[in-house]
Amino acid sequence: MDFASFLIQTLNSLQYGLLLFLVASGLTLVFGIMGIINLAHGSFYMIGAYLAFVLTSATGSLVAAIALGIPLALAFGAFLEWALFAHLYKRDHLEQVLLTYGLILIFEQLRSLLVGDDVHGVAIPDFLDASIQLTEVMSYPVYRLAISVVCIVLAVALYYVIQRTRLGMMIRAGNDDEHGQPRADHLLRDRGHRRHRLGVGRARRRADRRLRRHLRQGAHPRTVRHRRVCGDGGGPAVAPRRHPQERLRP
Amino acid sequence: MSATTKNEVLLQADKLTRRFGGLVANQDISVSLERQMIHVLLGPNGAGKSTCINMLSGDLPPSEGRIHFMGKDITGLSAAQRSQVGIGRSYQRTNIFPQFTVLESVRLAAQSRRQQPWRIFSKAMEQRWALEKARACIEEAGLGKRVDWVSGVLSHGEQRQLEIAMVLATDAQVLLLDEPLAGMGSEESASMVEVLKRLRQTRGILLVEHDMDAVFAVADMITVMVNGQLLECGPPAQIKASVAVQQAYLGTEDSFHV
Amino acid sequence: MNAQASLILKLVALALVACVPLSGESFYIEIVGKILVMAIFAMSLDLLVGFTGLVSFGHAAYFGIAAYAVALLSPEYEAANLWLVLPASVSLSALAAFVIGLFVLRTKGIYFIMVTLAFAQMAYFIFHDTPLGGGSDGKYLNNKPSASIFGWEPFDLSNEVHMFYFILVMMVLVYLFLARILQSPFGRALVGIKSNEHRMQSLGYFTFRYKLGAFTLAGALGGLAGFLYAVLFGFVTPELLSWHESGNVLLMVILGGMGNLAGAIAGAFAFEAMREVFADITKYWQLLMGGVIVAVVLFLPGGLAGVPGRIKRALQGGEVK
Repeated sequence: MDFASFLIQTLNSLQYGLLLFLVASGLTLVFGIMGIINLAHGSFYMIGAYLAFVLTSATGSLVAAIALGIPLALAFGAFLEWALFAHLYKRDHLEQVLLTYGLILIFEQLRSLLVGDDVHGVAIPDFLDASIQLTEVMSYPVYRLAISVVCIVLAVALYYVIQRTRLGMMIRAGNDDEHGQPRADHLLRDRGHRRHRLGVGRARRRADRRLRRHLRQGAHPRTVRHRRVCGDGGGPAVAPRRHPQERLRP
Repeated sequence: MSATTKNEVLLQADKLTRRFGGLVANQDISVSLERQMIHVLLGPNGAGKSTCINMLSGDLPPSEGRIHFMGKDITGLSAAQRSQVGIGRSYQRTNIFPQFTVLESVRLAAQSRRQQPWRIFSKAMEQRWALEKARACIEEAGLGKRVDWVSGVLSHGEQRQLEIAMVLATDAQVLLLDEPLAGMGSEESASMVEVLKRLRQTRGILLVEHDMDAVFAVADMITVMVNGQLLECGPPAQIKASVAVQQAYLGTEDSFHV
Repeated sequence: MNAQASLILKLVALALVACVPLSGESFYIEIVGKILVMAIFAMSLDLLVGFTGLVSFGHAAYFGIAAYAVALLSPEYEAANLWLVLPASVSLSALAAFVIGLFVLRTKGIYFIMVTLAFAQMAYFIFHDTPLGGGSDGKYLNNKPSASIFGWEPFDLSNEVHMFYFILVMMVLVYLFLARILQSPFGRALVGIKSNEHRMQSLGYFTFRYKLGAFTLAGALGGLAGFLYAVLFGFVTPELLSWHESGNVLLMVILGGMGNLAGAIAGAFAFEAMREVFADITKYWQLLMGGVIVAVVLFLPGGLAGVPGRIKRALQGGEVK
């Protein structure tokens, strides 16, 4: 392998790793603060991708889609918390597994009903639609670099919020409680819940999904399902022997 | 059996040290426990009493030091192995089987002495010896009226009694009791003190307790710990008179109420 | 619910299931036969999840190992002897569970879930990627094992009705076996471990040995289910060991209500029947099934096993008024 392809692979994996980090950070926050095992986390990822597709088709602009998508995602997250997850905080983790498995089936089917099973693509905005020439034959799309930058910014912002702010302190207190620390302040946990009712975590995940969706230039239902499987801890996370970007049956 | 000889040393801990990273929770703590004796570990919160009892029971391995039980070195034994040689413990935070009845909890404790896990076709409820022992131990711990109750719904004090009944059912010679009176009303407390005195007749008890009235009512020996260090060890009168103890922990003479 | 009513309910359900072959429809006989196999599988997992508190996410491995064992141990062109191949297959699953248990039982909680999954994935790829089991296409079992004992043949597994009743008898035996074990000192200790393992240790129980025993036993019974599955359908594929299967059986146990053997059976019936019935009604069956599952979790805490008690309480409540 020559140096250029090595560089491209490195960039690819870095950028993909950053996206996975964002998805995983959402999952761990939901488990850590709310004590909910969400098997359907990957479905939210899928919903974000389809929101990007639908809204971009409707408005003709990715920027507008992001601006509209975030409040929609917030509202959806808040609705699900109110309707379903609020009833599960004190229940056995395995019942949460069962419920969120049911959600996977529902989301999957609704997606198929509403948007169909075809592969869709979303146009990259003009200002990002360029490539950097690496060698005579190889180039790297600017859009992917932009994704990586957005991911890094979000990761740094997340680190800042969790380590340096009052909100972050509450989140960490919630985490400690989860790990069996005696008499953690339940007030803090409740406030942790309230924060999630605002759906901040979900909106961020949505944004990240939207990016990923663009990256692959097409939301194929099968690939999305495969991602769900790997991303939510319920899947063969220990043995993803295929390249994750191949389109495969889960 | 010579098991009930007075002054027989049951448990002997030498220079136990426990470090958590850089924090020294216990340093060079030596404690000895004789039969027919209640030895109380005293000290302010964070003094390292629970760490000490955890090392004695096998829940925590000591960083340094040795523990002997009836002359045998048991430092390397697990909690389960120590229970099998005759050391039983109760926990500071109630630690029971909340869904089980009182009888079943104590029967399970009794069953631990003859486990026979390969006998998968015998019925547990037909092991008369275990049932009889469980009933006797429940009676001894003063829970006779609650035999068929579900453990989780018992009052706090009754759950502490249940813990003691479970420990008794394991034939423990040494009882390590971590704050058995915590959260009890004065009546419950008084009856628990009676139970402790009764248990002392044939066993050795190491007690961690905050309730001063109870401590001086039952203690034969007191060890005072401060900041993970052993401050003073001696009979109650000596501790009461000790200037060092008063300065470090007890404050003024008034706090004794004795 | 009192013991007598519960017994009557179970016997009525058993009698209803036993009537299925009277329909004469191969389709129904095979479907219900499959559900009974899954019921055995679910009960074996419930021993771990519901009674010992060990959430195994790799239970399909033992199902698949025994299924492959019968396919591989049977000669190509003639029938193997049931009385040899059945214990051999089940023992292989038990052995695998014992060895894997030695490793995985050193972990707890979410780590236990992940590491059981990891071992099951290893088993999956052994059959999927090596020539041993015919790769991803799997392997056919051309002749069902013969039940002959020195020339006398009490029943014939290639007859679908005989096969059905053989599975039904096995399921009832597994139920009785597990119900009995749970009454034993061993079983009581398992329930104690689920309730409070730390306390069991401080009471002097070597809990690792108990958990290993339960894990091995569950592996053996899961293997029995896999054996019956392979004989029923006559072929095996690596998908039998996939994490989907592990997940499905776990869902059956949770749906039925953990820690209740009859619940595990009910969960297997409900899960498989929903798949069949909803898929029959509409191509959007996933939506219905997902909706039912969400509703069960929200409105029936404790799963299907709690339903008879709820009905009884509702009736009594009515009487009081």
